[in-house]
Amino acid sequence: MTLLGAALSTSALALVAVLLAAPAALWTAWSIGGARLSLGALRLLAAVPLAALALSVAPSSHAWLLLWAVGAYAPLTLGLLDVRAATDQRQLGAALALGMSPFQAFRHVLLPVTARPVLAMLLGVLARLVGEAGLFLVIGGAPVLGALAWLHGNGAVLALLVVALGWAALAERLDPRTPVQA
Amino acid sequence: MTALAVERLSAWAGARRLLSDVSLTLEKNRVLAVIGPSGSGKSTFIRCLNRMHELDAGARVAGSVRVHGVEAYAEGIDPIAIRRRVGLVFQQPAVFAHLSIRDNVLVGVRLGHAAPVDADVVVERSLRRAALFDELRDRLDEPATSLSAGERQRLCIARALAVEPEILLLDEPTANLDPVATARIEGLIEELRRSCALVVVTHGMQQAIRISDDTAFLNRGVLVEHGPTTTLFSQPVQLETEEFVTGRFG
Repeated sequence: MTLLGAALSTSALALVAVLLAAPAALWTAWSIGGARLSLGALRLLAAVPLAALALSVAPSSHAWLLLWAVGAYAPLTLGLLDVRAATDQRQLGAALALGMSPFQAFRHVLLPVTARPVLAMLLGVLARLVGEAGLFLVIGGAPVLGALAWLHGNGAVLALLVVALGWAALAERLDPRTPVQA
Repeated sequence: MTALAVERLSAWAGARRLLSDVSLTLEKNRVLAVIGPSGSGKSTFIRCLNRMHELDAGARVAGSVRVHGVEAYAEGIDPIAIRRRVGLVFQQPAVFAHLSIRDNVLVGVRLGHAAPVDADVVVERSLRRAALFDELRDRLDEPATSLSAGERQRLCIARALAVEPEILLLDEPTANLDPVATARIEGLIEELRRSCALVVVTHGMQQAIRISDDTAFLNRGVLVEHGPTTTLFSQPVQLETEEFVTGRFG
C-alpha cells in the first residue's frame, strides 16, 4: 500500500471512528447530565490518558485502546456536561412565560448563562485538535492516529463500537430521570 | 367584569388526556384557588391559560380560553401576546442568574416594548407591588442570586408584574417557603387582587381559604366542583370534594 493510500485509508477510518464515537459521546453527555452526577468524579476520567502514560501502558494493547477511547472523549463529554448543567430549563420556562419569543429567550437567557462553558468546551476541542496535530507531526500519530492504525491493522473496529455502546449503556443505567409531572 | 372565561378546556400530553372539558369563569379583582391531589391537572390547567402548555412536545389543547373577551386560542392570536397579558410565576423561583435584581425586573419590559421605558419608575413600582422595594432599594445592582428563596419568589412576581399582566397565575408560589415568607406572599396576593385577577394553584386547604374568593377542585383532570371558597369548603355539593377537603384522600 502506498503512503497516500495508507493516509486515505486512515482518514476514512478516522471518519468512521468519529461517526461512531461522537454521537455516543453526545448521547452520554446528555444522559449523565440529566442524572446530575458529580462533575468532579467525571473529571477524573479526563486524567485517564495521563495515568496511562504514567503507567507506561503499551500503545498496542487493548487496555490502551480502552483508555484512549475514554480519554479522547471524556473532556468533550465533560464540556458538554458543563453546558448542560448551565442550561437551566426553569429559567428558559420563566423567560417564555414572561412573553419572550424563543429567540429572545435564547439570546437573553440561554446564551449568557452558557457562554462560559461553551467557550471552555470549544477551547478544549481546539486544544485537543492542536495536540493531536502536534503529536501526529512529532511522534507519528500517537495516540489517536496510532490507535486507528492499530485498529486498522487488527480489524478491531468492533472493539471501539463495543466501548462506545458500553459507555452509553452505563450512562443509561445511571440516569435516574423521572417522567415530567403533569 | 369577567377577566377569564374557560369553556370545555381539554389538554393532552401525547395520547394522555390531562384535562377534560373544564369550564369556569373568574371575575376581575378576584382570586381563584385551584386545589386537587397531585397529578390532578392543576398545573396543566394554568399553563393552558397562558398558552405555555403547547410548548411541551406532543402537547395539545382544545376548548376556549377568553381573556377579557379575547379568545386566546383563536387563529392569528400571537401566544407571546397572550403570555404578556396572562403572567405566570412558577413554583420554583427562577430568577435570571446572570442579571442583577434591577435587570431581572426590567428584562420582560425591555424586550416587550418598542418605546423606551423609565427604568427606575418600573423597577420601583414593580418591587413595591411585590413588597420588596424597601428591602432591596440599596441592593438593586446585586446579582439576583444573592436573594433568599422567599425574596426570589417575590422578585419573580415583581418581574411578572412589571409587564403589567391583566391576570396573574401563581403555581404553588409558597410550596418551598418558610411560614414567614409564605405569609408575605399571601399578603401580597391580597394586595395584587386590587389591580388584577389571580389564579393560585395550592396544595394547602387553609391557604386556599385564606387567600381566595373562589375555589376550583380538580381531580384526574376533571373539574369536580367550582364555587365560592366558603361554600365549597363548608357545604361541598360533591362527595368527592367533601372527601378531599376533609383530608380523606389526596
